[in-house]
Amino acid sequence: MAVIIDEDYSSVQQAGAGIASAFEQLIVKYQQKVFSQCYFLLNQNRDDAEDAAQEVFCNAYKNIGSFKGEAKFSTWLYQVTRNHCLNILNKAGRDNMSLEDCTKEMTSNPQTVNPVDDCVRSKVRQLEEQHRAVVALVHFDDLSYEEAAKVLECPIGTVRSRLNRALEKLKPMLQECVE
Amino acid sequence: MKCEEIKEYLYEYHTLRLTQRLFLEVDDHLKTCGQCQQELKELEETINLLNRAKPPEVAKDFKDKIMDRVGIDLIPANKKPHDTVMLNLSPNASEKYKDYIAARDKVSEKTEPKVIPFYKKKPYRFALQGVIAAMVVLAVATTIKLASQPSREAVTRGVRQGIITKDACAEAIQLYNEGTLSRDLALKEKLLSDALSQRCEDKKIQAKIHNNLADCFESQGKIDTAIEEYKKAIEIDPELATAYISIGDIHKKKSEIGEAIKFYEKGIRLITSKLLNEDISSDEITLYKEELENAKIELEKIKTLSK
Repeated sequence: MAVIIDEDYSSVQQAGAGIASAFEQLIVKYQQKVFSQCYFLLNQNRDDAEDAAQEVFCNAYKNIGSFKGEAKFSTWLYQVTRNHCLNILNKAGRDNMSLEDCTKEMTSNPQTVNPVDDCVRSKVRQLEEQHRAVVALVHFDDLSYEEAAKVLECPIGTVRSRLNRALEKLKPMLQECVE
Repeated sequence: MKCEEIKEYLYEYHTLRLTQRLFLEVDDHLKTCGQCQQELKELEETINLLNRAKPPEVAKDFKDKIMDRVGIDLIPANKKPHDTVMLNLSPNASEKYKDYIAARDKVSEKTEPKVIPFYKKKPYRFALQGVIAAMVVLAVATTIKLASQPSREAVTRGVRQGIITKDACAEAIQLYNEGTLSRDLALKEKLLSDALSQRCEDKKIQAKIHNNLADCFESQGKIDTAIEEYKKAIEIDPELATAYISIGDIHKKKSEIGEAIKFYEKGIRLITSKLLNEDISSDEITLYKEELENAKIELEKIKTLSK
């Protein structure tokens, strides 16, 4: 039987030993995916997402020594990203900044001039966090159901049902954007 | 499958994530079911619209901003300034590298005089600590900003001297994974042999390359060569359970029952102990559990046959 080694094994080991170029390689490889996760979890605000993604990589660097290789590096990084974003959302909640407030801020953020795109984004923002997370991981970041299940710490069947549920909810909502 | 079940798999069907068997099953159903065809059409429309929410590209200076912060903000507090640029030692650093640092620190401890200077005594200590801390931070920041090039050279020297095995393992792993995933057996053999020739010093990696090369020889019907490679894998990493089970499989096929039992039992013992100690990655747990069940079934079969 053949066995696979985590493709990032060597870079992680070198980054853990303080070799800057190895850590740079990991950033380049995962920056878009980490940013994308933050973007969807933090209400599609580009600036917030970029700040959060930078924090994620800094935290990852600080803790790379404690990464024991029990999961793939990419899975671990997604988990760090998810936890960081959930902390931000919780803190925003504690500071009385509701998601509704965030949404209002977003509407005034001229990210795109296309009204349909804006509408689609606002509908995605209305999904529950767990549905947004699975859409981001599986649909936009193209993770397998198995890896998404590891990141979300749930069974593969739950990933499938959450994604189907999210798409089911989006179906009438997105149609409103083109009617 | 009923329509409700088909509906569950439509996203995976559309994005080509299904296994061949399931794909064909859904495909066959769709050819004759108007209701599911309509579901698929609506799903495709939803996905097309959803794609308009694709996140923007990350900023071009994203990486540089992080590297600036990592260099200055995140130097572990317990490290000496000359360690911080290249040597942030972590549990993931190679053993040789750790030994090297430990030996070097031991030497410097021995050579330092044991006299307690006045500034370590109260009341000077607290006042001076603040000043020294500020100077250290300044020195570290300057070192990183101005001296990153020499530090990289120092790392390269370390690699050349065998203190850190760097690019060899990265190359080996890349070739190894490409080889393992290749369906062309000749290409697979070449890539895995190339992976071996990288001379990565990590024994776990070496053993896995030998194991997969053995698996490749086995698929080509070169059974004796396969056994040799599996044994090399075991010699390098005596805990590579999967190699024992693979040898057990070969002996079983050759009706060498005694040998088969010996290798299956050893493999099963190792996997059980790995699973109990959770000394493996979550990916491997799934793989090993399946391997363990199959090995147990095979062992029972041959034990029954040999009675």
